[in-house]
Amino acid sequence: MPTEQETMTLQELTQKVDTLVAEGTIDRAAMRSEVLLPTYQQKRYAMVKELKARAKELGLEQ
Amino acid sequence: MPRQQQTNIGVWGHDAESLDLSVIIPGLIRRRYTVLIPRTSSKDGVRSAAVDLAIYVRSQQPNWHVYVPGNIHTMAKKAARFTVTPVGDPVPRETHEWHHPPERTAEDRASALLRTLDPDLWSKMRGGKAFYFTTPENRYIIYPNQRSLIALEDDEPKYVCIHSRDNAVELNRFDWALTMRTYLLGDEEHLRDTANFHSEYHMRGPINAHRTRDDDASGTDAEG
Repeated sequence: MPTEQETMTLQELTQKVDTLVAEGTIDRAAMRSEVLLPTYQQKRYAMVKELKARAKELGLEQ
Repeated sequence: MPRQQQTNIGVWGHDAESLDLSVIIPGLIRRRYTVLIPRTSSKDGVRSAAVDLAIYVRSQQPNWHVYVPGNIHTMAKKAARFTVTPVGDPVPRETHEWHHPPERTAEDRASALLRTLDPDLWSKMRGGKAFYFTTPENRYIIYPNQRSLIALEDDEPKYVCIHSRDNAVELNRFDWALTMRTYLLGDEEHLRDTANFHSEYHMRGPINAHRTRDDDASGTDAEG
């Protein structure tokens, strides 16, 4: 299968994204939170937090 | 509207100095976007480079949702420690290869060399099915699994009996193919002068090209 390769240095990539931000095409902070997936620990922490809140709501918290 | 598809950014060793953060967008023509970062990049450095790459690829490929695994800095740390992938090598499919890169055997090295020299012959040797090999003067059939060469002579096909003192050539199909290719394309006349051409032949393994229906019916085998 033919592959087209685009290889950049870190500086080139930063410049490209800076241009997109300057053009108003993207919101870097919003995109950052969208593209970055949570780690296993973060997911686990969020789940435990949610369960604790639910237990508190139901009056089950000891 | 085209369906949104999802892919993640991965990390590979690039060379002694750099790591390769890449994402591959499949399609009729695959596109691979890569940014090279120093092997010594910090956790935040790896993460922000990956985020920027994801942002850039999303802007180029609107139908693809590119994500950055949350533990990408851990992946980078492992890749920096264990792997140096030579440029142009295929991308490892599984992440566990980063931890334990497979040792390159003699067969792997011969395969890589043949692939560089003659990708078409390499893919046929790798595939294992018999195929025609044509030189400017003659035509042959190569059986990759048996490492056998059959010359399609005017009168009848003949088994070209070649033995090498190099055990690798006898046992390793890619070494064998490299040798045959060198002789057939480089000095075919010498090969034809020195090799024995057998009318009755059997190849390595169970294939008998002279087996007839009568042999099958009587249960006899023309081999040996």
